[in-house]
Amino acid sequence: MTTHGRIEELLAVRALGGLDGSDVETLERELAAHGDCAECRRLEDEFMETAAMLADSLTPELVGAGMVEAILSASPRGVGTVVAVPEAAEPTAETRSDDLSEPRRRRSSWRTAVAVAAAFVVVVGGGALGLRLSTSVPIRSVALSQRIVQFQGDTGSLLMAYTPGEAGAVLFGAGLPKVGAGEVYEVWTITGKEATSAGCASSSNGILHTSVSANVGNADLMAITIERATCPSAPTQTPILTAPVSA
Amino acid sequence: MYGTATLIRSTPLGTIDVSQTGDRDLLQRLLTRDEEAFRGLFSRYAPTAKALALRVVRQQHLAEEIVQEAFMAVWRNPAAYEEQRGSVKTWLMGMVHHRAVDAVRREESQRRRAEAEGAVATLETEDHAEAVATELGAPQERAAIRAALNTLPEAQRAVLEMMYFDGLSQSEIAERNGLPLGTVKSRTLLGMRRLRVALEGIER
Repeated sequence: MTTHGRIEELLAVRALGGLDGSDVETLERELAAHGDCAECRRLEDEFMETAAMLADSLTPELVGAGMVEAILSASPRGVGTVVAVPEAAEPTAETRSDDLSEPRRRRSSWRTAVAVAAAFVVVVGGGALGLRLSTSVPIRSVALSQRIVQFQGDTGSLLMAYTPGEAGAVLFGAGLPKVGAGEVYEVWTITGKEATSAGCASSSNGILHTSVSANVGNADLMAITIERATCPSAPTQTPILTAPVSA
Repeated sequence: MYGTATLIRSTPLGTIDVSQTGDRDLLQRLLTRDEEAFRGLFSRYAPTAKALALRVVRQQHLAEEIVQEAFMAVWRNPAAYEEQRGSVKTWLMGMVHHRAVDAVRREESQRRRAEAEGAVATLETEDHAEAVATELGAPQERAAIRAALNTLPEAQRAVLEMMYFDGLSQSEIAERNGLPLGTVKSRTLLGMRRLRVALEGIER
């Protein structure tokens, strides 16, 4: 077998993640000896492309609804925790240094909202047990500027935390009507008679934990519908939950 | 019952529609910390990434961790993507697969150590109740790729699937199937060549 033939064989195995043992070093040695080899790069890229397409043969899986916000709220340099600190906490050196950047300001707002929502989950005994508001429960993390609204509907409990005048809100709920395969919860802001999608979230167990970037304080009403996973731009179903908003 | 609002068709205002934006444009926007671009990329590929990770590690929780790690890496360092080396999807799936295979091999190593010490290994079983599959993505493309895979001779397809989906190394496949290592390698190469041809024409 020629050098190229050996390299091609090992590149094919490596693209699938199967290379091990002495062949790992063998491939590196062969590639190094081969110099700047455009053909080798082309072969490797093609095999990698082919391998990646195998992933598309699988049926997509639902991803935890809070994952994307957890990633976005994490420090871009890997310092700190994914979930926000309560508003009362001293800002870290990192958050101070980033205060002038618009994205960081938005994340900071999100962090506070997440903290509020998280506080609710703790004080009411966990989202899976059903969310309810109680005036006797101390909610130390909620600043005066923040609002909590409770959705109304036939089934389940849902709370939304937001700051009037600022974009973004966090929604926490449990016991909602379950979405079927290929369906999602879609969040709507309704102003007058116009409904605008604020985003979609998936869930497999009737628990909704998500965030939206819309300025919900401008809306008259919030609503949740169950829609197809294509996340339509206009509602096609009757809301399962609604909440009046008073900014 | 639900208040006075009448839900009518409207133009979304609260979010930016990135559904028609190309992957590379979205990635470019990540360089300026564009969160909507990240959400677009995430919604486009996270379900497939989760399916891949789950297929390899067979544990819901671990698969979610792997997807989160991979997308975290994208968010933190989008400049790591090299445009000349292939598509964004290939880069993403490569990261997810690499992490999944690493996780499987770490676990296998731990299991072997535990067995050697006489302990009973307790592996988390797949949670079918949580593994709710959806029809997100492109079913036609999925069917075409499955069909392409099925055009391979059984021996080649089996090696490719064991390697990519089960996270087995070439040596493990040889050992478990009683095959010479050279046979595993040659079947892999032939299978990959044939698959590449069979996949031509499918949108990448």
